[in-house]
Amino acid sequence: MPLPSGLPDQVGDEESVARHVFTDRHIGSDAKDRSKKWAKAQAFLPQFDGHNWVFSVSRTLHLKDAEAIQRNGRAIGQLSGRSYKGSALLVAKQVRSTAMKSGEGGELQNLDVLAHEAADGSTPYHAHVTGFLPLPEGANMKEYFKEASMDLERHAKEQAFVVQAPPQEETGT
Amino acid sequence: MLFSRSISDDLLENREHLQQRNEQLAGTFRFSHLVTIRTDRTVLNEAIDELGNIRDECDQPGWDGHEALPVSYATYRKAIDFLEALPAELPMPEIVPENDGELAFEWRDERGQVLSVSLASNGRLTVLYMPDRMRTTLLWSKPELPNTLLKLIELFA
Repeated sequence: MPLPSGLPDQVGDEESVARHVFTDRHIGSDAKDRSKKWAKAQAFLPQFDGHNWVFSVSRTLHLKDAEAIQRNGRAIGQLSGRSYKGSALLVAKQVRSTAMKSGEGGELQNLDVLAHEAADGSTPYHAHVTGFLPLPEGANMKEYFKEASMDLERHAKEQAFVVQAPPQEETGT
Repeated sequence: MLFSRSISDDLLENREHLQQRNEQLAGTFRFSHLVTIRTDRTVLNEAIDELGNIRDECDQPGWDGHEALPVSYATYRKAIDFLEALPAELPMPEIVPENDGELAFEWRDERGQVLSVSLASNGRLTVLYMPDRMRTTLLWSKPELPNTLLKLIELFA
C-alpha cells in the first residue's frame, strides 16, 4: 500500500536513504584532500524516541540527483531552523547487513530501515533506521551502538557524500 | 526531553561485571612508559580551546539538528581533565560531540585503525578499537588514565 508521499510502504533493498547532517562536527575530511568528506560514526548514533532506539533518514527514490537530495536536506533544515551541511547515503541492504554484535562477534540482531511517514502527510519520505536492541543483560548499550555506527560510517564511505552546495542566486527573468 | 540518561548509565548498576572485565584486560595490556611531564602546553592548549568551542556549540538540546542532549559543563570539565592526563608523548585526539551529551576522543591512522573513547560526566569511558572490534567500558576516577587505554592510544603514537 502506498504511503502519503506515494512511495511504497516497504523500503527496498536497493533503495538509498540519506542521513542529513546539520553540524560540521559530524563531518570528517581527508587531511590530504579536504574536498573528500564523509559522515562520522557519530552521525549514525541512535536516539531513544520513547519506544525504540532509532535515527532518522530520508528515502531518496523520488530524488533524482545530488542536487535534489541537497534541496530535501535544506528544506528539512529550514523547517526547524537548522543549517544543512550535507548528506550521507546508505543503501538499505548495507544497513540490513549491519548487526549489533556480541562480545564474541556473534550477531545479535541486524539493523533495518522502516518507512516512518505520518498519516497526515506531514513527514513525506521519512524513514527510521532501527534494530538497535536487544542486548545482553547488564551490557553497556553505548559500546554496541558505537560499533554499529562505525560500521555504518564505513558503509556510507562506499557511497558519495553529498556536500551542501551554496544557494544559487535567483536570476529572475 | 524524552530520555535524559546517557546511553551507558545502566552500567553503573553493574560494577562487578565491569571490574571483572577490566581486570582481564589489564592482564593483556600493560603500559610500559614512564609518564612524562608536559613542558610544552601549546598542543594541549589548542585542544582545550577546541573543547571550549565544542562546548559553546553544543550546550543546547538539539545542537546536532536532531534531538541531541547538550554537552554539560561537568562533561566539559571532565574532558579537560582527560586531555591534561594524556602523557605528553601520546598524540592528541580529535574531539567529537555525541548525541547523548558525551564527548568522544578519537585517534585514526591511514591504515584504518580507529580508537574512539566516549567520555561521560561521571568519568565512564566507553572504548571501541577498530578494526579489531575490541570494546570495553572503564570507570575513570583517578588522575591518571587507565593503563588499558594508554596502551591502546600508544598504537597511534
